[in-house]
Amino acid sequence: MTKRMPNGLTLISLLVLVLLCLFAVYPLLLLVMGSIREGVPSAETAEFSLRAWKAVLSEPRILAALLNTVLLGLMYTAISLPISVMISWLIARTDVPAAPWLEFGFWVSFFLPSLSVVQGWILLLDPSFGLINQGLREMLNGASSLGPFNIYSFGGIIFAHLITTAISAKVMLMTPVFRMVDSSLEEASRISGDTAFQTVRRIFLPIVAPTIIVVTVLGIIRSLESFEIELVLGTPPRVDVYSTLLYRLVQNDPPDYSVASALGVAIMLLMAVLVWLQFRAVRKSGYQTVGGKAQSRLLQLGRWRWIAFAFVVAVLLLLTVVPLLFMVAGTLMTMYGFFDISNAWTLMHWHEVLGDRVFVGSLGNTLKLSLGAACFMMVVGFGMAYVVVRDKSRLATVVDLLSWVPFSMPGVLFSLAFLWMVLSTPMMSAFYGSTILLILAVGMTTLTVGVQVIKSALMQLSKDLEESSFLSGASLLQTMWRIAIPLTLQSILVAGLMGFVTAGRSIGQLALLTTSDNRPLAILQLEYMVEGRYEAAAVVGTVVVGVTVGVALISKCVGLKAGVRR
Amino acid sequence: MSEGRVNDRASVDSTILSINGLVKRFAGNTVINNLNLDVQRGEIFTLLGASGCGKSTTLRIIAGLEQPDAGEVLFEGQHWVSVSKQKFVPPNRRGIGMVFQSYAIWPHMTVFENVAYPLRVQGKSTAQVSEILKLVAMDAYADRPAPALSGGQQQRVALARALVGEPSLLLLDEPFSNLDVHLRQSLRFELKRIQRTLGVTVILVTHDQLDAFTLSDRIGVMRAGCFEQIDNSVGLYDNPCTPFVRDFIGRNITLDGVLTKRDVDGSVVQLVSGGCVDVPEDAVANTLQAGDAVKLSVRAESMALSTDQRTTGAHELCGLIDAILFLGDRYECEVVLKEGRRINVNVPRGAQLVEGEKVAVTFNKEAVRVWPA
Repeated sequence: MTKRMPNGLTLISLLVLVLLCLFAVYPLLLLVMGSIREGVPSAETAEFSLRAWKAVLSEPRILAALLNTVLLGLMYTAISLPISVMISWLIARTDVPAAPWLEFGFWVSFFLPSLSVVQGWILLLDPSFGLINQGLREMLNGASSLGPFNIYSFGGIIFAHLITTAISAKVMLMTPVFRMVDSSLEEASRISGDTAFQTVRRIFLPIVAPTIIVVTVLGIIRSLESFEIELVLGTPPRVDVYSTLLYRLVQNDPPDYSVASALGVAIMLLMAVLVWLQFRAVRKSGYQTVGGKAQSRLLQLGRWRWIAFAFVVAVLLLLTVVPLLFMVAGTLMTMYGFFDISNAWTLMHWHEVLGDRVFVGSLGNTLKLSLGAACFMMVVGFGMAYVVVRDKSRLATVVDLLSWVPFSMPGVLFSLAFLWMVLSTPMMSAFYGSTILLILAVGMTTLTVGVQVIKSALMQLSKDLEESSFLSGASLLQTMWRIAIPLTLQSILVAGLMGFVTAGRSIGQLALLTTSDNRPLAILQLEYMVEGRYEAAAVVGTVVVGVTVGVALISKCVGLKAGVRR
Repeated sequence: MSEGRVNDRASVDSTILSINGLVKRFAGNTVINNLNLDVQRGEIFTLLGASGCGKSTTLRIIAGLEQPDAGEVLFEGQHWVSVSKQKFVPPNRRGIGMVFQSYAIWPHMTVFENVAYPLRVQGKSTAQVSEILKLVAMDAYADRPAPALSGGQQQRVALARALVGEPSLLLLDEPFSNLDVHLRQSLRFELKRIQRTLGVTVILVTHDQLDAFTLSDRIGVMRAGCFEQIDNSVGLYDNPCTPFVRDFIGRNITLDGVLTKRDVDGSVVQLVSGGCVDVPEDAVANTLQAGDAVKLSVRAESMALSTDQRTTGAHELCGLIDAILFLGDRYECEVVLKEGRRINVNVPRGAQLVEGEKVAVTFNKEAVRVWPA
């Protein structure tokens, strides 16, 4: 038809489009504009200037931070890759015991708040009071009161990435793909006379190489997200990456918004190159590894079976149980690491923190933020997914494209863009310091992933089910409420849960937007750590883990039991 | 194209649905090409055709699930769609019942909830639900969750859901294609019975000729987005108007030949594969003259094989049996004619035939038609 009849779907598409333009495209434009002007965002008039860009391209401190960003990302990707490939292979292709549980363990690790995991390891590897360091010094009878390990270092940052998400994310992504490889390809190689090891090297790895490349590029992209690890571990040795530098530029007095923005835009450009590389890699990888219902027989490891199991379990323990255990222990010690003093164990820190108005306020903020983000993900995520799947107009194509904008902006950068938006738009300045602003910031950055989850569920839903509802006399809203939503409820809840957990642990997206009024627990934990109040930080960290992962685990169990009637 | 207006039931009183000049394109391909149709009140009208002929798209336009690029659809004289007048009544305001090919039974509801849905969304009482469930013999299953239903039961529920709002038009999209042969048969009878009881007008889309023949008052054979012929079942079977309908309906065998004699007393066709056939004069197309190249068409069931020495002479169509397949109630023989042409002929059980044997192909002269080549 030349002229489309107005209908409900077009209206929803328009709403979603307005939302995306307002809270993704507009802040991004402000950021770009901010990089070529002088002055604070709230200034009425601003002068055009290329000073910020000159600084980004010439100032040694900025160049060093950019170099550190790239170097760190490359180094921990290089270290985590062989470990992850090996673990994924063990879980997916061999008869290692309890493989599904091992895989689940890496999921848990991925969702653990990074800061809490790092905190646990700080208590083990702090140069002076770290338990491992204390133990080693005693064994070696060294005279030194420091070392031998120091987590506050370049190497410490790399280690922190390995034990937070660098390994777990890769295992999570690669294991399902590895499982799909048709084992007859490997068997043919064995029959041709190859050993098991030769088969892995000559057949398996070349087959999954495209996947490994995609996961690697994705890992480097994600490394641009990282913020809190560098802020905590990089501050004492003065190792800055771009995100911490950007944070410092804005937090300094006076803040330098222009250079921070130019730095952010430069990172966006780098990101664009990486995303393009990733798309190319995905396209090249084609469908050769994902061969549908290939038969997959597991390799018998024989006596290596339990050794492999022990190896994977050890890695998992280092990623999850060990740091959490020591973080919880840290909350119970008068002074962490000092066992000799009288009253070594105490509940003092719990009393202190839980009784503190600041903590109670932050807990309330975190709960508001998490619930708000969960609702945002479910409502907006469903609306956007529905538009993308069901609306065949050009509007929906634009929505689909724009939904990737917030995804491609690293957390701190998004925080800065949002700050620009709030400070330079008169009507929005009232939102500064409000939880709604934080909900929007977390919601928008997580939205893309949530939309993908709901989208895949909606795409499996036969269109007939909705069309027969229309023919029964139901309107679009009635059909969404009674048919589409109940039938995709599980995915909608998963998206909501993702919003809840992400909001509870997120730091980067919020770093520049929080005030004492809307500060959530994760930011409070960060502040305590920066102040050196480790025991209090550990208490907050324990609560954050409880609120995020605890809720996720409980709802997973409840969800499994209640189920959705199908 | 012929407008067959044969209707053996006394319901030719009024037109309930009119489609005029309908055009629909998908990505540049014309799927429906200037389609016109009048459906009479109370009849079962069938859109019959191979996949891709545009029959399902036509049905979806009637339902309001697709919008045409040109043309109009009128229901009881009111516009449902008119491209020129920019009118479009959305599907939920049309008051139609529809049974989808997939049945589209909502898996998160019980049988009762599924059937009650059309009433509930319109804020009506759900009192009739049990009545309509009884009509489709599903009243005992009202509390069953939908996923626990068999294919045939789902079909009944879908039908009940489509009928519960008392629609004046019922659309059926390949309603039997997911069912096995026995179930199909019994459900055909049931559908016809329910339609008679309620007097609802039905538009049926199918590619299955048996569905079409057994159920329909009228059938429209579709090809490339428009009607090839509209007629009742018998008319379509016995008097196809175009070569497409001739070859599409039933099992038909065409043999090339030359019309050697054309006369009121009878005509003769000399076949390329051998043999001369006498045909009645009214079986020959009007435009043909003696000497024209023709196609002789015979329904497969009107053919027989004979091993009788007297009939295997030069004047008969002869061939060798290449293969015999046992089909249970009959045999099917593949016969190789002269020039290598192969035809399949049904042979009753008890026929004493062996592979490799020379046979004559005979046919009932009344069932023969002569078409221009």
